[in-house]
Amino acid sequence: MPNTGDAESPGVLEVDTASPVPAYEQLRSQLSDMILSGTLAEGHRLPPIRQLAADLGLAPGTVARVYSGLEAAGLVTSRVRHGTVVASGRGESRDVIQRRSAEAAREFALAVRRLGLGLDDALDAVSRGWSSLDHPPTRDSPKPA
Amino acid sequence: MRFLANLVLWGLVGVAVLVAFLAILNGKLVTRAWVSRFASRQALAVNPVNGVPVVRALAVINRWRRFGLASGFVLAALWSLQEGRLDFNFTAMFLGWFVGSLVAEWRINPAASGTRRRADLNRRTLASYVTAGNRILLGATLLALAGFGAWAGVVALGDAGVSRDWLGWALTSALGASALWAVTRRIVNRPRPVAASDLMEADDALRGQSLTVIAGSAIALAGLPLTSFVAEIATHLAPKADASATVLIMLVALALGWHVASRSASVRAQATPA
Repeated sequence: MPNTGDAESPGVLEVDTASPVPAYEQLRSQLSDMILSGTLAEGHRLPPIRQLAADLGLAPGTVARVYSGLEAAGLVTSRVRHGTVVASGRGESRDVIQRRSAEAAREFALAVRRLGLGLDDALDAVSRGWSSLDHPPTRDSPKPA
Repeated sequence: MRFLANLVLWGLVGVAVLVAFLAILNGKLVTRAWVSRFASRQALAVNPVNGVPVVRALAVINRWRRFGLASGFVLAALWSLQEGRLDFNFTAMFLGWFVGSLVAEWRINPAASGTRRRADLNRRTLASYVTAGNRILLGATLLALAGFGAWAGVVALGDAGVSRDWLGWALTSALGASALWAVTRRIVNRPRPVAASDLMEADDALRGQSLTVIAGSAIALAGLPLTSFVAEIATHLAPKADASATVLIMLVALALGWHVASRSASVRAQATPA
């Protein structure tokens, strides 16, 4: 049975066609966030291009472009008759994983420094961000001070 | 004088056909009893929120099915009239009803609207809406149709060449199977924007009901070409044998089709704890 409510759904995509951000970019960033945060588990089969395009009222070419972008980034794999499946991040070699995490950490460190914050604040932000992956904030949860 | 009498007679018959056509088309499109049966079979709690789209969709489906039924009746009646008699061809009416069912699914189109659009990430397949038992029955019927069709074709080729009967049924079967495939894809893939959960449940129920009824009707209709193919094979293998037993195939197909379309369990009911 398809999702009969948000509770069973692995995730919901939202596209705002009035936004200045192109629909392609909105979709790509949401899907990559879901995959990187583990909301979409490894092996999860994404909906077919036509289905997702119809549901969101977008051109199938837009969704196809998103899927190929994700595939190029190593987040999904596409195979004929199997569709598009969330790829395993564990297949990468240790060197590649270390290089990618170092790059991400450097980017984050630069962003924090630009905000004028120190190492303790950065570590605190990482810690909070990490726990939010396991307990995503809901609409009713209190906003951070 | 005789020409005039014939003209009056056929005029009256024509009016009767037209009246029957209008009678089939008129009448309530959706009754409370029909909605209740639908809701109970699909384990759907109909409420003021999802009731409106459910009734609207059922009305579209019923309108087209009736139009197909009436068209089948009129076309068969007109066909028989040109041969100087008036027939009520139930096969043509059923076929018309089936075509109407298929067309109706194209008319239901909840296209994504507004600027903020939401979609969930679940894949929808036939298995999401049709039970395993019904899918197996449909698959077996289509497989039997293809197998016996090919066998009958080989038999006919070995004899005096393919018969017009075989060619007609083979083409009709191929056309019907293609239409079935296209409509199935259409129902499964038509837009399903994320909305309140009772609206989404109603949407699932409508898809499940449509696919199950269409699968059952396809099984029943497959009895026609199957009977013809088996009769052709039987005639070849045992020319003196009585081929009337092949009618049994037709009856079995009809009974199975009726069961699938109107009596079998739905995926939603199976998923709902008793």
